[in-house]
Amino acid sequence: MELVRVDDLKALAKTSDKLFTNADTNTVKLFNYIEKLLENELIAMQNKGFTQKQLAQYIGRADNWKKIQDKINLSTNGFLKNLFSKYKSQIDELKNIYKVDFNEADLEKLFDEMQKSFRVATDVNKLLSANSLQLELLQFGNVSMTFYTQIDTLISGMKDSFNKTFGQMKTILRTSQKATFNQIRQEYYKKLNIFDKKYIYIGPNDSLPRPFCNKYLNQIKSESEWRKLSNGQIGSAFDMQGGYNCRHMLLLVPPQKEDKNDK
Amino acid sequence: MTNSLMSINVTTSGVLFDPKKIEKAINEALMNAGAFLLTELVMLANQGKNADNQPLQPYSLWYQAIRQMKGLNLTPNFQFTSSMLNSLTILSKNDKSFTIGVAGVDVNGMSNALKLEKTQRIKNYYLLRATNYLAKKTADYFQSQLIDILNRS
Repeated sequence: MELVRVDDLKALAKTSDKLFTNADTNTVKLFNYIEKLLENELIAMQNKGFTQKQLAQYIGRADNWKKIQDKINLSTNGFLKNLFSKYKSQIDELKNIYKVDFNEADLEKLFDEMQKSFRVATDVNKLLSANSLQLELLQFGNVSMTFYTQIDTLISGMKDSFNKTFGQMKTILRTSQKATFNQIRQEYYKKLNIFDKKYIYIGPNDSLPRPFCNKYLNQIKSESEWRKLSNGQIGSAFDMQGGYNCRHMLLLVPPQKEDKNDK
Repeated sequence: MTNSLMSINVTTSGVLFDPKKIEKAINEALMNAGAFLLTELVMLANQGKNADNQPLQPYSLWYQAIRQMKGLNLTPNFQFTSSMLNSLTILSKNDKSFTIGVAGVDVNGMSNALKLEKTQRIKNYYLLRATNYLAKKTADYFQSQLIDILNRS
């Protein structure tokens, strides 16, 4: 086998870049396409007299959601084939560049690795049958399936150790991660030379928040005042805001010029 | 943020400023400006606005229906589980600058940074971007803080 030449490596890097850029662009195209199909489906229903609320109820029913997915899957298959035909020419280009440096088995291994990066496209149909949260996440990138699997495995292991259900473990993970970032921000705020720091309870204002969050949303209090408030689940409002799965944040209200409380 | 010092007129008539004090004041004002910008960004997101203080484009019809089903706000606000926005923090700070960003992954293993990057690029819902609006607001705040700190030192 010949040694790998620098020019070959450069050519490989360039072609790989092109490949990944195209993969990313095509992923965007794919999701825009799916979104358009869904949109058309819902517009058609709206034209039949469905209200926004009725649409939500309609797609909330598993059997209806399945019907929509089936329609989308049929249309998506052709689109996917078209996308993959674009990858094929680039993979052939890579093969030509490397044909002197790798044997066939090495090449196959290399391409297998590269194919993993395109997992999202091959798993689109599978993901479409997942719930809407996953569908929403699907819009954002091409790493979903790999990570879903890893995290699900991790959680499965943990739930046995802690004697919790899968859902409970996810809640614990989500809440602990939020608490970590809250702590990081608080550590930063500690370093500020501001006397009597005030914090605002901030976050989404929709129909999901619990009464505790609704009550304190957009309120401004000092650290000691927030610490005195228990969310009734896990600790104080200062450390954990509304408790499990809370989506709200406690952020410093920056001192303004007219404040005379500064040191 | 770094050019805002240019607009500060420090009178030197009869007053000697200790360079170390000025340096300390700049650092302190910069720290406060970091906290200011962080709160500003989260407020913009919750008001359904981008880094230019402009309303975000409405969600698509199908996504609105999904959000309604879940009981979520229909005004775009960068939040579904809120994992991404909740991870917004000051990632690093040195004498001359600070970096604000999102970090970690959500409970499904999705990178928050990747989510934000894709949201900004695909949806054009941009939040972490050095717009004139944010630059001016933060620079003004930095300047006012610096004057306050120098006045009381």
